[in-house]
Amino acid sequence: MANEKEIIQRKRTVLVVEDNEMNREILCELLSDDYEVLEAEDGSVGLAQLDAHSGEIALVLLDVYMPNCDGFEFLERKRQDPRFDTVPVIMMTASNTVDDEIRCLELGASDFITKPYNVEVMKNRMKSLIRLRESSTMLGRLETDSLTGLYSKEFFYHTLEEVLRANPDEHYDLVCSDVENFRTLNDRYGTAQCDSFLRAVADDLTDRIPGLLFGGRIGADVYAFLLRHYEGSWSGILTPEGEETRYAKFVVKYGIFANVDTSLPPAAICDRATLALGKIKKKFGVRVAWFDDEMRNLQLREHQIEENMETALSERQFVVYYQPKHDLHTDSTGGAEALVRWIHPELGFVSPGQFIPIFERNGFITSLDFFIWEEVCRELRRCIDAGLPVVPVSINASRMDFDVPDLAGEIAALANKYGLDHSLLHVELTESMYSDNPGKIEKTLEDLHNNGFHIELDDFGSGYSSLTSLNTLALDVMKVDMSLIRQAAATGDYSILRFCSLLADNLRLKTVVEGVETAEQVAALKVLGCDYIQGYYFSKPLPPKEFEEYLVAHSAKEVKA
Amino acid sequence: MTVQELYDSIGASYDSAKRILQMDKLISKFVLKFLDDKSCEKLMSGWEAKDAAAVFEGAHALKGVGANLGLNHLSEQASAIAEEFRPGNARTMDDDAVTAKLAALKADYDKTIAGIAAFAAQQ
Repeated sequence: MANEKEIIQRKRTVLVVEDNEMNREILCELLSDDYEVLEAEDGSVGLAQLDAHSGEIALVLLDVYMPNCDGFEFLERKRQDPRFDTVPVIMMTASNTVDDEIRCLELGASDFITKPYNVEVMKNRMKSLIRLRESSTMLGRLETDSLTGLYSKEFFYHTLEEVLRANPDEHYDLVCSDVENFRTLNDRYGTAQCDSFLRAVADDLTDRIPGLLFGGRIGADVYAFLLRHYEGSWSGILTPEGEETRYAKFVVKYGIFANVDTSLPPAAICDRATLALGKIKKKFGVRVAWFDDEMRNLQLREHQIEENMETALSERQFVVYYQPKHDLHTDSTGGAEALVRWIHPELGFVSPGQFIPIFERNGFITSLDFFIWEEVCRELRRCIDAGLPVVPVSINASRMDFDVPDLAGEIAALANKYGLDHSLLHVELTESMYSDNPGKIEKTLEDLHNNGFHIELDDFGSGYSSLTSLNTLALDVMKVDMSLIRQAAATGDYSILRFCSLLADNLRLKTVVEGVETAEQVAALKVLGCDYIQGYYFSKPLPPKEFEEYLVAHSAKEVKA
Repeated sequence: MTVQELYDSIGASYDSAKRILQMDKLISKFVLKFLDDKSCEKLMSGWEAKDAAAVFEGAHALKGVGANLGLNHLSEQASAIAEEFRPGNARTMDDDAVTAKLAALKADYDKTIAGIAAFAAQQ
């Protein structure tokens, strides 16, 4: 065990500044087992070395008398640069030079060794000075994790950064390991058993990973390992034969970021490996995943989207499209759903499937939603003023919109600003939002409803549909998920749609069936008594101008406004 | 000849060398390099040219290298010269005394080099 820990213990770098070549060689020889040694033949070369290896050099061994730039001058110049100021210096002096020693101390030297060197004394002084400095600069950071013997998260990141900064042209891989369902296992088998498992995994990986430099415990059950780039096959290494029997109910999975981009910050490097890991979570039998080009592109795209979103909003790159809802009773357009499109001047058409999840994560979605609300209000006002027909427009609310303190009041204020009848605005929400914070959603929907806005329940019949929500929420419309019409069309069995229609009828809800594509589907839904149809059979989502034209062509005789 | 026998034959301190370099292998590696060390030459030519700075640098270097190799007999004599010519120190010897001391040092140095060269020939 002690041996393994030494393997992962990084060698510190020390700088030897000494003009005599032989003395320098002797020192390098004596120190090379414990340290990476850099050499300089005089003070100015030494300062250049400090500059080139800033942040990497843990200690300087400095001769006093050297041609060009001597030890005194070196100390004087070193302490003027805040990057080097805290790097400890041990002076190498002759035994009978008290005046020199005092002067060096005044200039910031930390300690002395006298020539000839006593190796043990020298090494011990070096060790304690390095430890002292690291403990003061890394105050509060624990170097190793007591359970696994790996580096702590902070120290791992710190070391990773140092190593990569010092060796930007080297090739490294980063491997992250993660225990599947660890929390559940912890509850089930207890901390003691899980701890000993975690220890075993850390030990095994420390043994098995080729070219390992060091590892850290960066999460309760997540480890990260930095190694020299490995070309061979990982399968026998990370998932060796017989491991299943030893690990029993525990499954460890691995994400690998090969050929680490050394310019990235440490957390981003680990993120990439864990991103690869995330891809295979809860996928039985798949144990190892790589951060690949596809993920890199996805990440770049995400980054691009986040960088551009504010500008996109202020430059009105987001455009609201309208998809008509056809009223089966009047055979005319009875409403529309507002759908956002992003047309970026350089990126082109950005799919909502790409940007909506990102905005939902970073909170930007609420700004975008309010933008859409206002765009819709503005458009409705414009059409009314122009004497054009208008229909109610439904707008998708996002989970985070419900965190806005007075959502109903805000939307009402917008509608009033444009002088719109509230019944022209519908709010669409999905059921999965309801499961998050039912009390709050119920209350907000009630407020919206009392303000005269209609509420549509989106995606009914898919995923997490619960019949309770139909009873407890203030709903006006049930939007039947497109998967149901597809299934019905494929099997010829419309009984679930019939049931939905009947259920909606009993609850006095209107029905909108989404995803309708053929005349047969329309005919069948008409027989079932559905109210509205939305889908490509009638129209795809249209930009405002085209929607206006569509509406003129497909509106009922008497316009409801 | 072992490295210890070499040290005994030239009047150097094997124990000192051993304390510093710890292994015979390293002692012989570095003592052989002493054949190429120029500090004594610098000291002597500095004295010829009456260049005090060169004398100090040469003496100081010889003192350090000698001490690290356990060549204490050279290092001690070089130390006295270095102190005599250390910048800022007052001279305490007259030039004849220095010449005499350097002659003694040179004799010891030559003997040391001859010994090491013989040792090198066997390697």
